[in-house]
Amino acid sequence: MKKLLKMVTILIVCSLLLSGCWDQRVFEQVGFTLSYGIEESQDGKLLITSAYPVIGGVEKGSVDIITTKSSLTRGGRNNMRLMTPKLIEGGKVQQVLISDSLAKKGIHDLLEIFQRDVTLPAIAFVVITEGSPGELLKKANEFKSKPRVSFYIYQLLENNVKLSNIPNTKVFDFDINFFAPGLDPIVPMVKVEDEQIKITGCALFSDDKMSGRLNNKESNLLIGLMNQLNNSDFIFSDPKFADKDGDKQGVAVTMFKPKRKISINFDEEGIPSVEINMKYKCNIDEFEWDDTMDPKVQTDLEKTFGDNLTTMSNEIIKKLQTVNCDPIGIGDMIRAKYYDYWKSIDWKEMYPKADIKVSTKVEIGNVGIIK
Amino acid sequence: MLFDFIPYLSYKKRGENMQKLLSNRLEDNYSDLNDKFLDCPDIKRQRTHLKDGCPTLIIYVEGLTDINLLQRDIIPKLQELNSTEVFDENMQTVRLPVASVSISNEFNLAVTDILSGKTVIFINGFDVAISLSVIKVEKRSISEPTIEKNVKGPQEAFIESINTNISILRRKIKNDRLKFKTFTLGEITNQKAAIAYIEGITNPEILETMHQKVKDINYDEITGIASIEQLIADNQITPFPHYLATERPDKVVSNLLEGKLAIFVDGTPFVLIAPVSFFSFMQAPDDYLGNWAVHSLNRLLRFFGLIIALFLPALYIAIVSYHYYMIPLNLLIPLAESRARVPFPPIIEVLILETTLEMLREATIRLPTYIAASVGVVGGLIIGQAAVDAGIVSNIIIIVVAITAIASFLIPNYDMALTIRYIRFIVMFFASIFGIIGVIICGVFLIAHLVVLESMGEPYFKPMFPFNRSDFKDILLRPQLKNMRKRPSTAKPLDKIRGGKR
Repeated sequence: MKKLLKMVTILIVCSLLLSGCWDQRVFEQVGFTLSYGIEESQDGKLLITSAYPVIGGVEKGSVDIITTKSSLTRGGRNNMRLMTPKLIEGGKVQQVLISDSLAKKGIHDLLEIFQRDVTLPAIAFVVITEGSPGELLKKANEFKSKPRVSFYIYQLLENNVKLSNIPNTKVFDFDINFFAPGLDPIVPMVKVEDEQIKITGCALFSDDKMSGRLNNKESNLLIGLMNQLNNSDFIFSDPKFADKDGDKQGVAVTMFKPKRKISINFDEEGIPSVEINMKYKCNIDEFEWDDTMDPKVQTDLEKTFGDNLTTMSNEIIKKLQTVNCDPIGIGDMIRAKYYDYWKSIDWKEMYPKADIKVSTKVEIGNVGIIK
Repeated sequence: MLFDFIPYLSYKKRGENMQKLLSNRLEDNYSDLNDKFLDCPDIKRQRTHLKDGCPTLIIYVEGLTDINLLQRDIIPKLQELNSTEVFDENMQTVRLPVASVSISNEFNLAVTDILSGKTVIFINGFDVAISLSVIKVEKRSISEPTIEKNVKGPQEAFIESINTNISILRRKIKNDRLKFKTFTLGEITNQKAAIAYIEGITNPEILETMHQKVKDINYDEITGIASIEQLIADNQITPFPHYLATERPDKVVSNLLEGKLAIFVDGTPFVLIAPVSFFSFMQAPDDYLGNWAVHSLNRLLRFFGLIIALFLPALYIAIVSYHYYMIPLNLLIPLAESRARVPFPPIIEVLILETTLEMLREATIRLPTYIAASVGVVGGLIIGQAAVDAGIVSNIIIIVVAITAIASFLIPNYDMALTIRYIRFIVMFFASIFGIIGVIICGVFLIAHLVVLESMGEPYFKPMFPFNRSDFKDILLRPQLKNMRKRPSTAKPLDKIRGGKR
């Protein structure tokens, strides 16, 4: 009993006197960086920009943005700690923004710190910016009508991931896709454009080097090919769809989660020929006023949609093969199913040569309440 | 005269063989009693005589006796009898209009009878005492339960008088299988006590152990039912209650029917139920008085409240002190903003508010109701607004403490609620030193402790560990009554199935 009393006393005394010691990080004393921007400085070092919300400052809702020069990612934090009143910590990082020029040289080494330091979250978005991320953060910070910049970018990305406009590439996704031998990462791209941050598509990576890019519509379809599409709004803009007056040159549809079938064969020379069969289901949202209720009209439309998507998908595949980026994971499938073959080839060399064909079928589910 | 009491003492020491017997001379008995009841003005010694002039002594305790009855019916009748007519030939019955009469020739028995409120008559020439049960004790009437309220169940509670309590129970269980083992407790107070059980359901081993344990209590008095628990509990260090104290007869009935024991003690409106498991403290009688789905939800809510009451302030301390990255992004800035003005570390902040709340709670229990209401207002204002405005605590901690307080009021048993409150503080201290790991360690220790505990040799954490499938149904959820045919195994009942054999 006496022993117990002693223990309890020590515990209480410790907790009262020693709180604030050890590794305590009371969170109003922490400057939690929400966005990191990494770009290249003129003398070949890294320029690291960090945005953290100011807590208890004079002005409400303000964000402190600091840029420092360092040769390592961690060096940026250490330099910042020399300048800020708060203890800069990265435990709540939401985005890592990397400039496209730096991305072309390879970015995996920049993200390596996320794997080593347990306090850094692996669920931060990886984003490529067109131009300097530091400039983007500073400009976005001045937007009067937008929330704090990190929140702005976070919400923007979250919503567009839900709409399947951009891939959901967190740091750990990037790492997984980078390390998997038959997979390559793709990363959303943003840029500042008249008082907005705008998503401009996605960057294609070959290993960890950015090698090409797709626009928004293309990335939407690519996500469909990657089998990660949920619901998405898609617009077929083709003069073929023009209505009688000619003002509406397209059809707006909602596409639902497609069915994907991939069959892999090899020809005599050992070059893989891949067939990707996509089956989309869609609802028509906007079109000209006509007899879409007619089954024949619907069948025609379905065929036109399918042809349109097939052409576009094949173009995307061409692009992917030119920049040697395999986000669909065809290499991964070959590795899983035909391991002997996989060992005998170098996929990076084989992929651009492979014969990949996409054929798409579209089924119209609903034409709306029109009658 | 002075040494008269020595034989009495020695009889106490040497066992019950040496009994002091009454004399057939009234004067001897009178002087013995006078010595015994020296300085006891409440014990009235009234001399009178029978029809033939035989001197008679009537002794009763003022305030415990129905004086009206005594004066109107008994004394006149007595005075009309001759000394030969009082008893029948075998000295077994008395010709007096009283329902409960006992005759004995032991001096000490007579003394006990007098002290327990009976009217005792001594007649010259007879070496016996006639004890008449014309007791009328001032007691309050049966009222609503005060600390265990419910909605649809019976609205009556036990009172301080053990006889009334037992009669309530008998009224509820009209069966000869309801039995009581009676004895007295308290070396000085001589309180009547009883263990109620149901023959054929209650396990005799448990009954015997409990009877022995309670009988062996050697203490001046039993102030409340909790005294018994403290005196017989196996583990004296644990903050958890070993036995369930209740003021509700319906709860006692349902527990008796599960093969458990109920200990009644005179002078306390609470009854102790044993053996029980941890989960008995989380059940309310209301649970069984309605739709099973609705009340299952209530159960779950209660367990959720238990977890909140134990861990929420500790989690707040841990997260704010060490793990800022666990806070969702949208909450992070408002939280940090509200903490920014507070000069104290989180543990002090929480302690300030928790202690204030505990003081408020403790104060309102003791104060008269009309003052308690104003204390609530003052406390509410201080806690609610002024402390935040003054920058002593943050907004968030007010919410945390308030939710914790509400959650801890969900626990149906008062003893358990106090225990949970006590453990909460320990968890808080651990959280302030070790962060979330401290909270987890506390949780692990808590479960380890609960698993080790026993209530009358039965595992305290029973249906969870050791696991029992049929009991477990009635823990987190409340199954339909017809699916609860089996009695819980906590008390190892002899008859395992509810209901008669048809």
